[in-house]
Amino acid sequence: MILFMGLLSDPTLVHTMSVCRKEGIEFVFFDTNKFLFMGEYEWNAISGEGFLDNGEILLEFPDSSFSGVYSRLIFLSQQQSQEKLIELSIRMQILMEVISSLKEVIVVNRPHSDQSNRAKMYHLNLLRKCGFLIPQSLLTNRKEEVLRFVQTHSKVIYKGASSEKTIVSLYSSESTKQLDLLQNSPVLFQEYIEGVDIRTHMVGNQFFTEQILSKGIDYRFHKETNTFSTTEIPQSLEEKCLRYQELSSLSFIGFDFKKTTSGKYYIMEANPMPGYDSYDRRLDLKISKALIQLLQGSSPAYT
Amino acid sequence: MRPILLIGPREDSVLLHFANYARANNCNVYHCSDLSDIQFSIWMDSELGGNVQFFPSNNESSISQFSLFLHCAYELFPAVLESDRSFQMNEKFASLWSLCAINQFPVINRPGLLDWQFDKVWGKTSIKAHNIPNLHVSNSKGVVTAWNLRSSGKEVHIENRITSSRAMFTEGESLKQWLKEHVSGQYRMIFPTNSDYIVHLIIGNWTTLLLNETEYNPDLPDNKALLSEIHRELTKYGVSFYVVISTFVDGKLKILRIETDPPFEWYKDVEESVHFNLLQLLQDTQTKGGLSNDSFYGLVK
Repeated sequence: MILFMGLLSDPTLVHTMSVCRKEGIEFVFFDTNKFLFMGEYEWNAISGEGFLDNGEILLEFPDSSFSGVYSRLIFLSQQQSQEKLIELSIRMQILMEVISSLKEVIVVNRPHSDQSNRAKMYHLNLLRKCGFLIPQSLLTNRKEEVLRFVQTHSKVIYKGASSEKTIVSLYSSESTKQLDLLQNSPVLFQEYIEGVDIRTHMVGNQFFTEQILSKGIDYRFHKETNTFSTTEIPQSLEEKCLRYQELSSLSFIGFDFKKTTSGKYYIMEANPMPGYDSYDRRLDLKISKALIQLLQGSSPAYT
Repeated sequence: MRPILLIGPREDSVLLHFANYARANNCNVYHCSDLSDIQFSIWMDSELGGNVQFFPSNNESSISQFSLFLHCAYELFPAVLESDRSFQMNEKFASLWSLCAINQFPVINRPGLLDWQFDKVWGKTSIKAHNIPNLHVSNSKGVVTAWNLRSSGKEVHIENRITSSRAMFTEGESLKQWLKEHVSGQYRMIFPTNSDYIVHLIIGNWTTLLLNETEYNPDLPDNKALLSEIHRELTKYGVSFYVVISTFVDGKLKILRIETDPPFEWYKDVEESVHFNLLQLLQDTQTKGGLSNDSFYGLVK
């Protein structure tokens, strides 16, 4: 049996559960939002024993009836008082601790494995050390550095430095006018890599890849112009993905690449909690089926 | 001497006392309590790797070879409700994390895959087996049950994580009384067998005993072996300045707490030695980048 932990408003989690249902695979859904607001718990950090109760479902650990846990912990903190925010944060920390510590069960992905994606420049450096090509990048809060960087590249994009969702945008003369704001909020600038977008989902040691042709700089926000097609990445690139998996201990990763016309692959990031459902639908549910296999313990995982 | 950039709250006594010592020893020291205090840049390239620099002020030239000393860095990033400020805070946090992790020179303490959440890291190591029994409980009823069912320990240390209130009890009635004043809470309970502690401070490869309230000799081989194990694990993760608080349980040294942001008050009696060793570590030339945790993650520069 598989344990799903997350929100019913999360389309990726709902998609995975619906594939499970269609395939006749038993699962339990634990609503983490209910747990954050009204949950009770007890957790012995040394023995790895305890329970989580969200008022609907009581989970007692260890529980050998679960072969795998798919957790997508999303913290919806909007419109809460400071006091409530602290209360929710502590429960979230407990959830992360429990999920990270579960023994003899496959967990996709353990929250305390790799959070480097929250610091994009550090994350890029780790990817670089795994052998990936990265775009020339600059993280700064200094106007003069940006002007110097922009002068050395024909096209530059900019985006956030953390995991907060930002729209990747092309640098223009209009952007220069905003550089005085930098001092209070650093920004990540990168050389623009001309080419097509490639998204590879790595499930255990299996790879599922799509190529995306888009008229926009950030294809996620130009859905009407995108053309998707199935493709494969070279074995040498897969090996680098495996190196990153070894480093991060993540079983399920979404890699974003740019492929140039000369066939070079530049990595943009490795997502530890990929929202994969739209790719999966185009790929005849191959990703979710591989993920479910992994959670059933019938294919190799990194856990 | 290589300049040192201190990062932490403006009034942090660890940083203030160290700054005085370092300046008296002709070292240039800068203190940053908000990333907006300085200007910085991190350049990154596939072949050349990362290059970090900061500008103490707009008119000064850049400093690209510097050590970093962080203390209580989380205090610079309080939880905020307003979305723009929250975004700005996350961007600064991510930038500081990157700056510290990528800098090629010594960093106290260098963040890794889980930023500065070092306790989450060693929960996965062999150190966990040496921890004193502890429990997380979501309500006061659970606290009383846990107290009644405790298998070892004559006392309980309890923290209400919502209010950060802490207390220690040796008998149940006092605990129940305290709970009446902390009905609304989420609790962490630790069960040592006594309140006699051994406190070690570690800076790089230097260790000093700050306190020994027990009748045991902390220099016994078993105790030294435990400290070595902690040192080996923590060094892998970039931690080079920390305090280990331990106590004996059934004749064996058990860890009560590892504190990676030790307060000045804990070591003020030996501050001269501590500051000397901190400065030595931050000026280390043999381990340029050697304090990086990359080797543990299986990465080669």
